[in-house]
Parts: sequence; structure tokens; C-alpha cells
Amino acid sequence: MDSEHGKNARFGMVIDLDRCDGCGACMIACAVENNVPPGHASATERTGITWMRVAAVESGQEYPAADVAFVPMFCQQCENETPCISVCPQNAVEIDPATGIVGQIPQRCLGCRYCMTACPYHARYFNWRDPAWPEGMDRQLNPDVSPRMRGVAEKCNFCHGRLHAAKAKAAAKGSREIDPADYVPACVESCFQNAIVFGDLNDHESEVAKLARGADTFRFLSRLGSEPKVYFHSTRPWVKEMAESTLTRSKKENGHG
Amino acid sequence: MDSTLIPRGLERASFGKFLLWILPWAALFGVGLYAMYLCLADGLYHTNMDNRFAFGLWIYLDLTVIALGAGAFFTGFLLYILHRRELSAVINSAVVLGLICYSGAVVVLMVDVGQPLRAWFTFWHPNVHSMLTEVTFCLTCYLLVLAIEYAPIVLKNRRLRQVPRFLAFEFELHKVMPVLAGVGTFLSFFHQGSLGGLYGVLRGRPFAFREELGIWPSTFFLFVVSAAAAGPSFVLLTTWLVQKITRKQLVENEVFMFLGKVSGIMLLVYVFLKAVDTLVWINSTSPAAGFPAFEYYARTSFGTWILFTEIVLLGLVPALILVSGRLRAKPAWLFSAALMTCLGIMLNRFVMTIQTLALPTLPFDEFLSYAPSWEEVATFLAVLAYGVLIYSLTFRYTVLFPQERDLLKH
Amino acid sequence: MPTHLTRRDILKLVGGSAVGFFFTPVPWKLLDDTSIWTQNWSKIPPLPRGERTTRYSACTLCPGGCAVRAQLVGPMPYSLRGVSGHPVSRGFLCAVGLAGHHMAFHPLRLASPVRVDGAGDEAKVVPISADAAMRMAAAKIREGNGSVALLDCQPGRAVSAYYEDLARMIENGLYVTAASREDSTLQALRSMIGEESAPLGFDFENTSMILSFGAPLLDGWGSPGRLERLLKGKPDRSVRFVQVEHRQSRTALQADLWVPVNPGGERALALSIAHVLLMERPGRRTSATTIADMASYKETVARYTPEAARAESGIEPALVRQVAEELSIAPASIVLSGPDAGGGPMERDTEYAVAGLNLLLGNVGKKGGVVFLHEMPGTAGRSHVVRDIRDVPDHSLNLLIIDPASSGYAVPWKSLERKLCPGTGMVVSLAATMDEIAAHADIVVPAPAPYESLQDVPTQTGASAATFGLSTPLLPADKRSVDPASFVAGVIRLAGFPLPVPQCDDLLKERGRMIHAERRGTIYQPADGSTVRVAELAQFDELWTKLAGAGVWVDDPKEQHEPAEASLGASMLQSRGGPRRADPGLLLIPYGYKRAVSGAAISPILSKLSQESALRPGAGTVALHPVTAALSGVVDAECVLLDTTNGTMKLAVRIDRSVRPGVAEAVAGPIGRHGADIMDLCDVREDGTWRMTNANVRKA
Repeated sequence: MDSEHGKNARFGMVIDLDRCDGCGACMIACAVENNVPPGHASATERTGITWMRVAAVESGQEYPAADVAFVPMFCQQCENETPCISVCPQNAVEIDPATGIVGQIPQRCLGCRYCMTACPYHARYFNWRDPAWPEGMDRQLNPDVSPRMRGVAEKCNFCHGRLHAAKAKAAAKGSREIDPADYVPACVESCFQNAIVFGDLNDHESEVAKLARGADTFRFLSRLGSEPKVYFHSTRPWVKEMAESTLTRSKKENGHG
Repeated sequence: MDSTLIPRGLERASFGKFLLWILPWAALFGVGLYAMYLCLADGLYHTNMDNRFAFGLWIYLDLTVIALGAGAFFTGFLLYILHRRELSAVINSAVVLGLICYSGAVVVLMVDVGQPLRAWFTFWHPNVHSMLTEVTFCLTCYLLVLAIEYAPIVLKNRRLRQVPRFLAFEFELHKVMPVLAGVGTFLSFFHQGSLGGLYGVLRGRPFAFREELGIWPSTFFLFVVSAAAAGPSFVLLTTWLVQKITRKQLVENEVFMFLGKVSGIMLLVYVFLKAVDTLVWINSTSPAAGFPAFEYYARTSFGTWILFTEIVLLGLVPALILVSGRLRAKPAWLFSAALMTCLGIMLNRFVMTIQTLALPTLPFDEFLSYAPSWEEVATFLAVLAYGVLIYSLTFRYTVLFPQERDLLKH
Repeated sequence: MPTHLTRRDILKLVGGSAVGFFFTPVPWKLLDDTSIWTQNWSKIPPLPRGERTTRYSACTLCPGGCAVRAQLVGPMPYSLRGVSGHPVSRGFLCAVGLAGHHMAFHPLRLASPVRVDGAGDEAKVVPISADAAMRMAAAKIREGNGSVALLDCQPGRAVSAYYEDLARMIENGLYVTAASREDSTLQALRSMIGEESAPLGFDFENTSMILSFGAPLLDGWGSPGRLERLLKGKPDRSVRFVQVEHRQSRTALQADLWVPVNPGGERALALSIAHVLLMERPGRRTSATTIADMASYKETVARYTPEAARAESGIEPALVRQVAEELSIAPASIVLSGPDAGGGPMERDTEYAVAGLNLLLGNVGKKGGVVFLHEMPGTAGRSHVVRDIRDVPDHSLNLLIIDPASSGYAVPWKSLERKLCPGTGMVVSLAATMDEIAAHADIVVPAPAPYESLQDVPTQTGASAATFGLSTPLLPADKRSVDPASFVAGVIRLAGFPLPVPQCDDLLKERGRMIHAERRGTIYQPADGSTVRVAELAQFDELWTKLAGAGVWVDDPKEQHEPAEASLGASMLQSRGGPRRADPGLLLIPYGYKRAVSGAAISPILSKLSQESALRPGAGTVALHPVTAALSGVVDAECVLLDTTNGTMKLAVRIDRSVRPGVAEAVAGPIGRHGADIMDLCDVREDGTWRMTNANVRKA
């Protein structure tokens, strides 16, 4: 697909669930990179902001046969009838045709949270209170990413600060194309297990495109038809089954018997 | 004390008694205003909403009061467009109820959004594909229509009538009433519908998502019809309640019966459509998205009983009562059925807002629960108190029920 | 023309103005300006501006010492990442390390030395001067009542050697380490082969099988990057990795084979493996080492047939034989035990039983086994067998100075408290933040936060060659903090022992000089990934410049030889009779994540992992198997009371099928910022272990 500005990219990821060991480095790297503040003392799983969140999903078997899959969950960058884009009343969510990245524009957001109810991946987060950093830590913010004010939604954008830096670097060399090595989101960079492969799905020779086409690769909630650009990979049968299933009774509810 | 303000020929309670009635509501309203202040000035962390339960009591309230306030447009439609003269007895009351419901909803929405000062962006940079844009536009416009419709009621006040220009203005307004009713009906059709569409378009929430008919999901039409069913019932109920509280007969019994009949017919249509829609959803829409519908009801708190209650107990049953002339004639049956109709619609709005969000989507999600914070409840109650205050003042100082004077003479 | 204004005129004017107002630009401009105001929200901090630079350093939050590439804006680091290609950390940087630069601004950061009066909730924190702190500590030494101990939680540093010297200077002076030591197997082996000062390591890279008894090898053990690189990715790794552990830890989850041993049954399992190796396939042993106490060892082991050990270990005999078989045919193998980050060390006899397997298998002094290292230059003759605090007699310390450069492992306050002279014992903690141990101390002296001062990164546990690196400052020094070495030296001088007070930097340079003098090894530089041999550097300054650029020196490997003679610690193994646990009730087992335990301060951003997500359950919860929960009549998310003989604590239940039935698993660490710690409920035994305690769960 060519446009007048050169070739359009479709950035996406393939995450190997068999490699992810749930260390949480991606979550921290993401929060540090994107100036997400530390949780308030009262923040919970449901009110905290974690653009990248790793869920520990259990196989449901008993000790010692129990197995766990760590599933990093974040904005899946849906490209077909993107659920959050169509619902926003004032165009605060946009998909960039040049990159395929779904972006959130905090300055336009009125904080109605309709996009949050629309997202089946629960990848959108609301600023329930003003962001706050301990004194001094606010001087350690990433200079490339604006913190968001209270009352707006936010989510993963594949580290747009890094994309801009890569574009600037390419432009300085007189090129329109960014060097893939210059654009690596923080979670990908921090993953020691190389569980996350990132790249342009339109580039058929790229590792990410090959993996996305490969066997044992799947997407969550693919039947909703929103065509997310984040793929997952596992050779464990139960993990694949889990990903295909719906409303699997969670561990917690199993606990209730 | 305020006797010069009270319409001639009407009996009203003493000012002291009226004050006693008003004060508790005013106090409740005051508490609600404080809660709103906390949320606006300090942040929405004062609510118990969260990232997963991003809509809560307030959105439920908005959907519900707007459905109940539909009496305003539907009564106007029947009176001015279809010329059902008997409804002129309740049209003023219906308009006041509509105004209260709609303005209350808008106020709560402004507290609910995180950055209300940017809410006007929707008018300036609208996303025409968003149901919420449709809702915002129609709601604001219809609120204006309601305000204009409300004006003649106020202007009929004894003191205000002394100003000749107001009298002339009121007279002019009366001439355009059918036009306003037409506009109101048109706008209401869209925002009632788009409120339904709000959830029906959520592809990511297979519990709420519905097939499209034309450019709108089926919930669009279901909401229109259900609002048309609930509106008259709500007018009926409130009028009856005002009669009980003031111990006066305000309208003739035929009016109640007629409202009940209209509500019953609309409800019957709605129940039929809802049943068809539910069957299509269970057998086609939901499974196509990968969600066998019975799984939604596998939870202890929200079993199939909720579906049965919504469609049969609080749908089909009151509809049959209301369309039956024999049962309708008995006040106890009539008012119970009207109450059941309203409760059924309220349950439907609850299912759409709360159950949708409580249900998991990802395979490893959990079923969620949510209980509103005191700030949310106080804001909710403030809308109720605001409604009672506006209604009481209007009732006391204007002619809300034109038949009241004649009924008093008998 | 009206001659006077009526009320109606005024009303008309007001009404007309109100309508007219909307035809002026004012309301619309105001509307626009208010939204612009919301878009320039005053409550979000301005972004830092300044020159962007890249610098290298190393993380000192735990002894792992991962290399760090930092990006700075002006004087402030804003982003840290690992350094791929680094010979020690191999690019690894954990979640805690990724936010290490926040530590200087931790909300619990100490602003001055303080005296803590009282304990618990009534504790009062009084700021004092550093001199006053020194005088108070020195007075304790002069009292001469009991011993003085220097507890070094991160031994092996240049300052550690200095502490050791200082402790030797004073009468009744002790230099001790924390009880949870990753090198417990190496410790045991040193005394078994009678070479107390032999530096040992594990040659993981060349081994074909690793049998670990509870060592958190994939949760921050040693140099985390080394094992993560080697043992992750089940299908393609070349090493067979067997984990023996009672919990399904992250390490157990990643192992090729997880042996779910009974809690406390590790010793029996190790001895039953020894039984199979010695009694059932005696011909397989290939070691050249003579075992002095083989006869009595065999006598002990004879009782531990896999069938007999099963009651204690809970492991099927067939599985024991399988593991033993695999060990005996593996060309090279490593057997080790380790402490849990929160659960603490294993019993000493378990450590010996496990370590001894290496001698039985002939792993010591062999490629792919336990290897000998060259001495770290400048430490020759220094004993590597440092006492750990559990060997210090109870009620014997009058002064305990803690340099809490964290070991990453839990140190229950009770395990320290019992060592103090009742009533008079004083604890001085040299901590950057008011962490859990500091909160219990009598005096807290603020140490520099990570990246505020020049620190060394000593050889990591199990390394197959000595290493030495520097953690260079990334942040401006905080004038309020006190250099720990100078403080300790100052105390001892005030107590009447004249000695020169060196700066930490001098100690580091001294070690650098020694390395230069030995002319062994290579230096890696992270900035350009280059490696140079020390022998090629003529001047010491050249070496120091490279180290100061966060370079790391890696020693050359030593030629291996099997020890001629060894003992298996048979006398120690005989001492215990029968299984440790007789009571069939519920067992409380604390556990932890390395570094994020025991109230050790970590960046507030780490709330994302435990508080704002469910990835790592935080303190304050107790995990139960559904059957255990049903027996106690509790349900998920319910608040329960957990009782032990040490007290009662209110916790939230987490139902978890992966938890062992009959066990209550709880994360060590304070509940809330200054809350109680689950370890307060644990029995700290005579032998300094606290890994299991009988408990009871009931509805709150």
C-alpha cells in the first residue's frame, strides 16, 4: 500500500506466551517511558494506570500440575472498525494511516469514558485523579512524552515518543523511512526473554510478519472482527484453547466452587 | 404570603406547609451539590467507577430518566400531531417532567465527564459516527425545545400575565406548539434511539452488541419504542402520585385510562420486538462474535431470571393488563401495571449499562461488581430532589392541570 | 422621553444586555479560553529540558550488579536499560532495576541521621547530627558489654574487606553476613574440602544438568542475566534443569522438571538421591577425591532408601531414582541449594546434604561443575568462610551496625533482635531510605542512594571467574547522606581505636591497583562494547579510566583440579532425627521476590506490579488451595485471621489452585508502608531459619 508520503506501515507485535515469564519488566519500562505516575495509595487493579499489564492466567489444574501463562495485555491496535475510534464523540481517538497506530489525543478528550466501555481488551485507562510524582521524581520524567491531566483516557500507543525520535533521526538523514532499529517500544526493549517481536506487518520479510503468519499464532477475541495487530504465540494446547474460549471461569470463581 | 402568585380558583396548601415539604428536598439537593463539587473540583476518584466499570450509576440514571421523560415528546406528539385532545389535561405536567428529566440528565453528564469544560468540542469537532455525538446534539436541542415549551406554563402565572408582552409572547408560543411538538418528536426519536445505539454499537461487548438495521443497531428502535411505552406510564404514575399527595383530583379518570392504553399498546409492540431481537441475538449475533449467549447467564447474580423478569414479568404482563379495557378500568390494576412498565424499562436500562460492564470479555477476565460511592448516590438523589422541587414550584404557582379548576367546582 | 427610570427600565436593560451578551465575542472567547486552560493543566509537572546524554553505570539495588545504560536530560537520568553484550549481566535489567534511578527521590528517603525512640506505632523519629550518631554508637563499643557486629548484607565489596579489618581491630568485634546466602552450597563445599579460603563458582555454561534445591535461579539469583540467558526457553536449552521446591515458584514453573518436595523434605530427598548413587549404582562414581568420612556418611545414607525417605520428602521413589540416574549419567552436573527471597535459608544440614552430592558426583574442580576461581586481587588470605548472623550466639551483641546495601533477601527483624543483649543492645542502620529494618533500628544514618555515589560491583554468586565493576554516579551527590565506610571508621575511632578514615573511593582505587598489578583478565567497556586485556594496559590510570566508564573486569579462568580429600559433613547429617514437621495442621510459608522483600525500599512505580495489577501478589494476602480454604471455611477475597504462636494478623485470602494443599503462602514484606510483616508471625528457629511455621486460618 503506497501513499503519497511513501509506503504505509502497519506496526504490530507477536508475543510469545511460552517465553514470557511474568517478570513485569515491560510494565515498569512502559510506565517509566510514558510518564505514567506511580499509583496513589488507594489505587487498585481497577483504578491504576498500566498501559501494559501482564495477567497471570492459570490452567485450572491442581498443584503440582498447575501451569500458568503470562499474558501481556495492552492496546491491541485494532484496525477494522476500531471499537474505540467510532464511539469517541469528539475525535480524540485516531488511527494513523501511515503507521496503523491507534492514538489517543488527551487534549481533545472530554473524559466521557465511552471508549473504555467499548474496548473489549480493557486496554484503556482513565485519570481518576491528577497525576502525582514524589518530589524530585518529576524531574526524571521522559522529556519526550507529555503527562496527561486528570479526567482523560489514555492507553498504549506503541511509544509514540520513540516513533517521533526515529522519524526525526530519519529526517535528519534525509530519509522518509525510519530504520526499524531506531523504533523499538520500551516493553520490547526491556524484555530480556525476547518474548515480544515488534515491527511492520506490511513488510512481509520482517520477523513480526513471518511470526504473525506462522503456526500456533492467534489473537484474543478475534471473532469480534476488530482485526487487532497484536498476535500471541504459544505451543501449549491449553493456552491456545484458553485464547479461543470465551468467559472461561476464572481461577477466582473456581475458588468459589 | 405568596397568595398573589397562586393561580386564581386553585386551592394550595399554606406557605408554611409548602415550606416544610420543600425544605428536606432542598437539603438533599444541597448535599448532592456538594458531592458534585467534590467530583468536579477534586476528580472523579470520588466515585466508585473504575477503568473496568467506566460507566456507573450516573449513566444508568441518564438512560433511565430520559426514557421516563419520554412522556413529554410522546404526549405532545399524540396531542398536537395526532390531535388526541384528552391529553391536553396532562400535557403541561408531561412537559415539566420532560424538562426535569432532561436537564437533570445533562447536569449529571457534566459531572460524569472528566473534562466538562471541553464538552462543547463535540459540537465543534463532532465525530459523526459516534452515537454519543447524536445523543449530545439531540439532547441539547430537545432541551431547548422543552425550555420553550415550558415557558408558556410559567408565563401563565398570575403575576407574569400582568405584563402584556409576556401575554402576547405566550399567545404566539401557543401557535407554534404543534411545530415544537413535531420538532420534539423528531429529536426525541433520534436521541432515544441513539441512547439505545450507545450500547448496541459496542462490537467489543457482545452482550450489548446488536445487528444493524439500516445504519442503526436494533437497540436504537427498541429504545424509541420502549421510551414511548414508559413515558405515558410515567406521566400517569406521577399524576396519580400528585393526586395522592395533594389529596385532590387533578385529571379525569378517562385521561388515566387513555394514557394506560397508549402505554399498553406501545409496550406490547416493544415486547414483541424485544423478543424477536433477543432471539436473533441469542441464535445469531452473539454466537457469531464467539460468545454463546447462555454463558452470560451462567453467573449467580445475573441468571436468566433477569431476562424473564425484563421481558415477561415487567413487559408482557403489564402490557396485557393495560390493553385490556376491563382491567384498565380498575385503578389498582392500572397503576400497578403502569408501575411495572416503568420498572421494566428501568430494568432494561440497568441490564444495558450495568450488566454489560459486569460481564467479562477476555477469556481470563473476571465477573465484576460495582457499588456506587456516596458521592454518586448523593448526585443521583440531587436529581430526584431537583425534580421534586421544580415540579412542586410549578404545581404551586402555575396551572399544571387545566382540569383541576373544573373538577374542583364539581 | 421618560423623565425618570422605572424598575421596568432597569429590567429591560438587564434583559437586553443578557441577550446581547451572546452576540458579542466575549462568551465564545471565554468558552475557548477555559478549554485551553484545561489543555494546559497546571497540575501536571513541566517536562525537564536540557541536553540529552547517555551514560553507563551498574545497578546496586541487589548484588546482581546489572550493567545499566542511562539516558539523561540535563543532570537527571530518565530512562535506564540493560547493556546487551555485557559479559556479566548480558543485557538484563529487572523490573526493580528499571526504576532504580527513582530511589534517590523515594518518599521514605532519609534527610538526616535519626534516633528512633520507642518501637512499633509509638516510635518517634528524632533527627540528630552524624557526630551524635557516631558518639552514641562509640559509647556502646566502649561499654565493653557483649560483642560488636558489622552486618554486611552485600559481602565481597571493597568496603566489605575494610569492614572485616575494622571488626578484627576491636575486641569482641565480628564481621557477619545475612543468613540468606546464595552461596550456601559453595560455603558448605569449602569447609568440606578443607579449603576455607578457596573462591568457588559454578560453571553453568559448560554443565549438562542443574539440580537446584529451592534456589531461585530464575528469579534474580546471582547475576540474573547469566541464568536467564542459559535456562530460559525450555525447548532449545542445552542444560537439563531440575528444580526441587515445595512451591510452584517462577523458577519451578520454568524448570524442565519440577520436583514438588514436601516443605522441609529437601534433606531427605538429597540423602535418598545419595542413597541411590552410593548403594544402588555404586560403580558410577568417577571422582578422584577421597572422602574421609565415607563410612559414617554411608551409614546415615543407608537409612534413606527412596522408599523410606518418601514419608519425609513426599516424592515417589521412581522419580528419585530417575533424577539420580540422570545425575549419574550427566557428563557434568551442578547440585545446589538456595534460600528463598522471603522464606529465608534452609537448615544447615540440608545445605550440607545438598552440597555433598557434588562431591559424590565428582563435580568439584571440574569443567561444568563447581570450579575454583583465582583469588580476587587484594583479598588473598582472607577467609571466605564468613560467619553469617545465625551463627552468632543469641543475646550477645551490644552493638549491631547494618550496612544494608541490600542482599535482595529478607532479613526478619526477629532474627536480628534475638542476637542483641536484652535491654542494652543497639542497632545502627546505614540506610538511604527508612525501610523495614531501618524502622526497627535505634539509629539510622542516611547512606547515599543508588547512583549517587561511586560503588563497586563485586563478583556475583556462582560466577566462574572473579569480576569487578563500578557503579558510577548518575545523580548529583546528596549532601545529606553519609559515606557508610567513613561512618563506621569514625565510630571505631571514637571508641578509642586510632585508625585513618578512608573514603569509599580510595578503597575502590586500591582494589583497582591490585587488579592492575596482577595483570590477569580483561576489561569490557559498555560504551563501545570493546574488550581489552589488563596486561596491555601499562598504566593504572588507563585501567581506572576504563573502569570509571562503568567498565567491568573479568578474571581469567583458573585451571581446575579435583580436591584430593574431602569430607561429606557426615557428623552434621546424623544430628537430626526424623522429619522436622509432625504437626499435620496448616503450614505458613513466607516467600518473596528477590529485592522486593522485607520492606526494602523500591521505586513507588513498582506499585504497578502488585497494587495496580495482580501480577505479583503483594504483602497482606495469603494464598490457599481451594481444599485448604474449604477446610478452614473461608472464601476468596475474604478477610481472615492468621494465627501462629507469635500472634495474629488480618489478611485477605487468595484462592489459588497452584498452592500446595495444607499450606498458607504469604508474601514477605510490610503490609502498607509501615505495616506488620508476615515474618513477624513466623518462628525464627534456633538454627536461624524461618521457612515454615504452624498456623491456623479462621474467619475474621
